[in-house]
Amino acid sequence: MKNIEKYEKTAMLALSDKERAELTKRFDEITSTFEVLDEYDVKDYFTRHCGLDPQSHAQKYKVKSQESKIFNVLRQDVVEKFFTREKLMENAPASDDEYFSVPRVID
Amino acid sequence: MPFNVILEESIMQKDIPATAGSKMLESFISPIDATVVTRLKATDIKIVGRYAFSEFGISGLFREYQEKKLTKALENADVMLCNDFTGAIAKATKSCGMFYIQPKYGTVSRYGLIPSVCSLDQIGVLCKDLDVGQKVLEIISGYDPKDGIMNPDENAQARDEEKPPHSDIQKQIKQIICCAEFMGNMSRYDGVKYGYRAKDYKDLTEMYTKSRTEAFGEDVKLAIMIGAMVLSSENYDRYYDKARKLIIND
Repeated sequence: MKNIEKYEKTAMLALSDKERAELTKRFDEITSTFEVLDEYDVKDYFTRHCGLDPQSHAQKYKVKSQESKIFNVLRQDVVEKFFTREKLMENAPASDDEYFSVPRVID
Repeated sequence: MPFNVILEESIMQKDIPATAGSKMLESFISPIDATVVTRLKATDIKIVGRYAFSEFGISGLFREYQEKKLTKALENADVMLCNDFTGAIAKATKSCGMFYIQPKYGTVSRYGLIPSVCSLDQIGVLCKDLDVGQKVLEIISGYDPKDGIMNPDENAQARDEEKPPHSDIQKQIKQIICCAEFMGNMSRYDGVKYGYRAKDYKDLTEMYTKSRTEAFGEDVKLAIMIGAMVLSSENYDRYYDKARKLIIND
């Protein structure tokens, strides 16, 4: 059984004991199926099929000589007014109409 | 075209709540119209309601959707626009005589769509009649400068869909990639700028933690923690990086 408490902390969650027990069970069930990936040697797979080192980028590279299809689509660098401050503040759970309110962060 | 369209809860309609099916966003009022909504409003198509299959659509990653969920969604409408990043909606259509049109990535603008898994998010069309679905897809698709992954070249082919080369580990690859990206997208929900905030807290960390714990459902929490696991320094190479390498088709 994996200890999910450290991931809980990373995820900024604080589960109850009951919830932690249930989620640990499901977490273990799912992540144990990931172990099948250990059987795949990506290095070998790619060298055989593509003659390339494996890449973790989603874009295809079939052969080294083929030009990459990756390019950027950029907007004009022009300032556009998106929302007013009031509009943005409407959805804030706590604000003084001008700023978001949060608990004190400096002692 | 007097069609009735229903929107998934993650698609924003100006001045109307967009909850993404989550308690986290139950008080969130959309400040904008999504591009798909703007395009629908320019026709005589009527937007008649909103529906969520699950919280942020993530439950489809862990279990299949029941047929009755789809039937209920299209009870009073001809078409539903939804983001089927898990593939669960498309899968459920098979048993109930409906259709799901999954456009290629970059076909439909995602401006105004609450993100779940960015590399798979794409608004598609759930319909009872394929012709009607295609007509709606024609209206909502096309270049939008507000979605940075779209190509302004009208003649450009959308990128080929990438399929994992090994069908026997497709499910695992999908779960790893989805949870990793999902975790990143859920990090915006901290109870500060919008969304649910817990009532009692003594400091900032507790405010974040309590708000997230109280507002997220079980499937969302599970996906976030799996995401944290596959992206952690001790597991990154073993799971996330490897899954990314295996996703590339040969």
